[in-house]
Amino acid sequence: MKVYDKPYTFITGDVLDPRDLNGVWNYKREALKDAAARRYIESVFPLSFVKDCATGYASTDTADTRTFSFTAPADLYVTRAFLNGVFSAINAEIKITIVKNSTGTTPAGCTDPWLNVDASAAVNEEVRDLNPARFKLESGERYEILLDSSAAFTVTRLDVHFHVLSDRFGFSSATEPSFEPFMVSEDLSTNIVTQNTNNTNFATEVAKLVEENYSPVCFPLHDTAVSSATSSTRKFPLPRIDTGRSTARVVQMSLQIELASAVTGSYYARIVDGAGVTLQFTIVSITSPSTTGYGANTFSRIITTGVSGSAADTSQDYFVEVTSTNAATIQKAFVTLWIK
Amino acid sequence: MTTISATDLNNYAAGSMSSLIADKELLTRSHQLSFQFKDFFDDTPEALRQRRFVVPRSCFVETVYVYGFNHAASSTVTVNITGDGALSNWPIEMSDTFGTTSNFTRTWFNNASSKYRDRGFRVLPQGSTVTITVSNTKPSGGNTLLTVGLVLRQFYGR
Repeated sequence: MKVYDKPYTFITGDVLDPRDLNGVWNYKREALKDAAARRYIESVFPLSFVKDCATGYASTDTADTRTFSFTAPADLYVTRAFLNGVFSAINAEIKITIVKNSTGTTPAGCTDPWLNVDASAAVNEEVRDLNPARFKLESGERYEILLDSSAAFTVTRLDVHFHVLSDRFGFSSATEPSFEPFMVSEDLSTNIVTQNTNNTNFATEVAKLVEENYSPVCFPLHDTAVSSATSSTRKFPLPRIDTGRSTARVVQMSLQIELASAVTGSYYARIVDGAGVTLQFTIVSITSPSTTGYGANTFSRIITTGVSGSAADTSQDYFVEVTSTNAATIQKAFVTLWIK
Repeated sequence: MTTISATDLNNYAAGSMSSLIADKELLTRSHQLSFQFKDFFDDTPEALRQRRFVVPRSCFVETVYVYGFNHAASSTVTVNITGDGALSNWPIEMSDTFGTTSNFTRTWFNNASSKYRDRGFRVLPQGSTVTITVSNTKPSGGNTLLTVGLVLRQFYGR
């Protein structure tokens, strides 16, 4: 990988060779290519279909419990999906499906089921599945991932995860920087206009380097009492990290919630700092007799600042909390953050 | 006639390069993985204390962190991260005491000072399977909520 701190430095009194100027522009062209080539990241979206380390999801759970919901913050692609787990009861094919909330349909390019466990799979032995289907997640669309079967089943452990591909240029070649400089000839006096054009064009192309990569972080929560009070029983870390994530910011937070019994109130996913001060929140209002709700909030919040070379310091760690205006028991909560 | 100076030429050479360099430094190339483990004890079968994932692109481990608490009594929680690549011979292991108030412990792999001496560089090849296993010295009773997180940085090439 190239290292480009600064191209050639001219000194008064130098004998100017056109090749020096051309070398500068060649250098800058390659530097821009290097930066533009870093356009994709691929991250893991993990889902655990267990409530705790002893209780997995079962057919007796509600469909809402067996569903994970999230909203795509931008156009993204799913590139692969994996299933790995152990079942203590299998009586028919067990399948994982993904549908668009707006239409209830499987995304184009994806299969139904997305992942499955055959009815003949052995009980209490590890089962696996892989689906390399590549399909698009549309910006702003809510997706629902459901574990289901036509017969009774019980999960002992079930990890499902899929890979999400993000392109900072939004999968468009139109916005990809491209710089081809005009080279100078021996007659420098007539080429100064060309130099100005190169400078302008280069600045225009560099300006296209807008951060557009997205990656998810997920926090599931089961069988937990919530209230307006802060509690470590429903708190998840967004740690201070002094490396590559130091400038990350959250751009969307969604909250999927299912209550054990209906309690009218407002339910929050909150990003708080180390002192417990709320920085951002997503609110879901539930009115009895409903027990379920979903909300997604878009914002831009830098959550980590770096400290280079210091020891672990928790004073500025950030957290995600699930709280509510009224005391209630959560059957399931699922918070998804998209980090840019 | 205007004389072109070395300063003029250097302005051409340096123009917009600071933005380019800043982009290289600021572009988010990492992603954070967070796994939750609830209510596991010294007698919980190992298969139930595990999570697995497949690495989407070759990357290295920037940071591993553990956050959580034991509701009823203090105990020692150990996190093992094993897998293909460098993890096959040099798994990451973290162990610390977790009490009734939350504890946050972490290690990062940037040669900064850390409470953990083992900061070897861990590369996760594309397609490798990583397994996270947690264990607890606490016998059954009370509750545990533990988050194990990894921050992975993706390699880039041209």
